Amino acid sequence: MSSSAESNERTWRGWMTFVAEASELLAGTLDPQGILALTAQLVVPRLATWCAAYTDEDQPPVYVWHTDEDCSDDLKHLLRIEGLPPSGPPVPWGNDLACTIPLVARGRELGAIAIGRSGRFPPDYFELAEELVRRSALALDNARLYAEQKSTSLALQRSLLPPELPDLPGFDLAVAYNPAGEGAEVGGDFYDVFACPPSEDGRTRWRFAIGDVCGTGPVAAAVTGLARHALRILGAEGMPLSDVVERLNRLILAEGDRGRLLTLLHGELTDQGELSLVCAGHPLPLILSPDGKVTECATPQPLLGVVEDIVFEADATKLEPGDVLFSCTDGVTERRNGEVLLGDGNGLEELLASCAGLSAGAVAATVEQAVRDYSSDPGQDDMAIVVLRALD
Amino acid sequence: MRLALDTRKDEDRTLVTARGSIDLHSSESLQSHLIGLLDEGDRQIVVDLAAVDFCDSSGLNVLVRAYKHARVTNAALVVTGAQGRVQNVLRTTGLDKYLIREL
Repeated sequence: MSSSAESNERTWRGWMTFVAEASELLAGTLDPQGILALTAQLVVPRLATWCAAYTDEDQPPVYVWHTDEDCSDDLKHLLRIEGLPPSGPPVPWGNDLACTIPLVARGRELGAIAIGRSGRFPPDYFELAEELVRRSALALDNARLYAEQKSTSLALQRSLLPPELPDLPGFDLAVAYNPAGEGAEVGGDFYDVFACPPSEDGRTRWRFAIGDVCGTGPVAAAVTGLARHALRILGAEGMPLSDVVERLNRLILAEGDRGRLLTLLHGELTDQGELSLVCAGHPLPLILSPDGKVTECATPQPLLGVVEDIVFEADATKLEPGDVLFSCTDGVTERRNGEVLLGDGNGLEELLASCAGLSAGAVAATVEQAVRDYSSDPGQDDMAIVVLRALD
Repeated sequence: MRLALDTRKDEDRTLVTARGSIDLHSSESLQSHLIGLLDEGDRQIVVDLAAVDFCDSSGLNVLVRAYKHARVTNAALVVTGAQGRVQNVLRTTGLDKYLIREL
């Protein structure tokens, strides 16, 4: 091999590595601004003297990168007056050779990258820049799709939680909610608190629910939506608590293959602190007394979505002044650190006992923090907490 | 801890011994195994959970699916040996009433 062929080979290998590394960098980010900044920095100074990145050609560039920072303002000025250089191979533009490469991916135009070189602009460099911009456009389109999915999931997730919590005179109410990770997938946990028509003896009453649909994603979310709305509608009709849960069980089973298992704690509270609870396969609710004593306050009943002919019964208890009713999803009790879980033994009871005397908000925050601190691993499961405290 | 499954067929009964954790990662293999046995014509399946240390909601989902699949194919599926966390979760979810029975 002649020495010039060897050096060509070396150059070619260098460029291949460059493009491969650039692709990896671009594929690794889902932030559109970051992708454009990265593209500009990959192009300058290796391929061009300057680069301007546009997401909309009628707007000022979102990024301008110049090997000589002092020239940046002149370049921006020139781009404003002259408009972008033409697309296609570089042509004389200002004092440089320049061209514009559109950012196109999957048939969609996402902006453009203008590049220029003072002096010679070898065709190889232009082709490499084109290749880079193509990859950058794909990364931008992926980021756009991801952002779309994330905002859809977020909207769906929000729709599964109540827009606001009612005011419960005589009680202190707090909720905590953490969807798993920051991914673009909707979780299956939900809670709700709402006012109900007064009971026959004229008492003000509220209902609350905390539940966990098995699985995540839109299919689980559909079941969550069904559950939350069914509870509200049937509650507004004055249907007894246990009948509501029974009806919901049948509604879920009627969904057939789209149905999912649901664990649910559904409760009713009167202004006198009387509590009715139906705990359908859900982690048992606990009452924390002011002296630090923690007791289970419901009997386990089957989770929903398994078989049709289940008769549910409501457990009755009372929330005395200072008592705290604590309920959560298994994202709390099954929080894992190596081989042990937070709920192992009496883990949750002991944690709750340490919260004696705290407000509902402080209890929820303490447990939330304990779950977070339990392991250095980020949690993989959703978590919801509802805390109700009868004021002294 | 991963999930290991050991299957022994008696005359009219199939014993599936599970070892490890039934969670998001392993539940699918349990599901296809149990459904497979039912589809092959096994009529009585006992799932021994004595050596299972953890079963999350995806694991419960699999047991319920297999239980329902058994019902529609005129077969029966029960679990046995659950202890510790697994026994607890079967109790709180009320699944013990359906899954823990004599065959």
